[in-house]
Amino acid sequence: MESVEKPKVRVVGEEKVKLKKSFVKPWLGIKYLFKKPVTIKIPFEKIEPAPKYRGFHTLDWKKCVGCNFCGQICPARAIEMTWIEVDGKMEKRPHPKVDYGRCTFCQFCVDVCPTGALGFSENYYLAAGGLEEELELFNWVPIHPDKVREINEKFGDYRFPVVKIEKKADGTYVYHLRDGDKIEFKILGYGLRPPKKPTPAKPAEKTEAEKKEGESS
Amino acid sequence: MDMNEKPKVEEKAQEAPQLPETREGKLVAEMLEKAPYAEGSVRRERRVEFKVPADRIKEFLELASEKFEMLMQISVVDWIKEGEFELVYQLWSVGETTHAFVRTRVPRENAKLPTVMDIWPVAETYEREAHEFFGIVFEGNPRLGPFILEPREYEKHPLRKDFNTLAYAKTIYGEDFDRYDESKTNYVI
Ligand code: SF4
Ligand code: SF4
Repeated sequence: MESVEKPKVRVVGEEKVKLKKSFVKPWLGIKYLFKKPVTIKIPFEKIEPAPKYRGFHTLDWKKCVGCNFCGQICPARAIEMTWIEVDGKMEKRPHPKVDYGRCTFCQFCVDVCPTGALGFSENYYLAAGGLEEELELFNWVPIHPDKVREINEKFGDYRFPVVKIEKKADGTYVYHLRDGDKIEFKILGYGLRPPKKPTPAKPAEKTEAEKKEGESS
Repeated sequence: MDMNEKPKVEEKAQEAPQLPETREGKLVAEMLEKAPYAEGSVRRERRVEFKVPADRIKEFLELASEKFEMLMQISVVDWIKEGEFELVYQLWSVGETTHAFVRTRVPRENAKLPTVMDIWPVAETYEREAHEFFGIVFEGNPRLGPFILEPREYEKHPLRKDFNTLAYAKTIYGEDFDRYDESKTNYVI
């Protein structure tokens, strides 16, 4: 025991930290009665989120290569790869669909994205009622960052840029943006593999799309 | 040359690791003198490690409690391939400001250990937790029983490696517990 040298520690004397009880001191708190209260009147005043506040995602559909790195790193497993058909043409690669019911807003997916396609905006405000069609809002394929920025500049209240996600029976989704624009596309399937042809109507479309792709490339 | 060299390296590894001439090294040497059945090493500054056979763990911890006043945690690792649970008693010495890991291994089936409640009373809680999540029985602890988990999860030992969390969640919440079209119930990694 003696062979082991003790580490040196500095102890503050008890007399320095022990306070004397007082009858008067609690009443000194009264001075704040006449000062301006520290509060923000939210509907009338605005607060600005920090410049890189981690909010909703943005996705550049042209840059995303469908590598699923974002889906693999997501700690909440909120990302599902989605096969999308825009204007009758299937995208060559799947894109992530983010479920804000699960997302923890850690933005690991943004950091890991090798092409920088996935980004985030400072928008954080999203509230919906309990109806199923309103809750569709919480599960979206993020839209282009420029569009989000444009909407932010117009409204500047950091709300979710989509007001309504309309889901049609044939798998068409319409995103009604806040400034009245619409984004329309069709979701063909989920997962890493390209979707199989469930209905006879789709193969024709797809072969068309493939032909177009073949021609263009 | 290579053939000759390789055994040399192994011999070196087999030799008792040299304890450094530091505060921690002296501490470990002192402990090992009293408890020759244990293996000790110094991980880094203020971090030492002991390996003790399970049947002498109580004896060792009693000895260690002279130096290490606090039991900070009992953590359990399930080494399913070896069929063993590894218990790590994490001790803290206030006087030496040193953190010690005391490792011991017990077989997975019928894991039994003596309780250390009489040395550190706080062990009661840690042992209840280890009992609930891994099914290790600490003989002498009177309160091993339902603790944190819900009644339907009790006796299932959810932190064991052979507990399939996803399959269990599916039996409770149904095959698909996603609100939306896609199913996020399979894992990609
Ligand atoms: S920000 Fe959301 S979607 Fe992205 S990795 Fe984190 S939890 Fe997953
Ligand atoms: S968003 Fe980025 S990480 Fe995710 S699939 Fe596309 S390219 Fe890969």
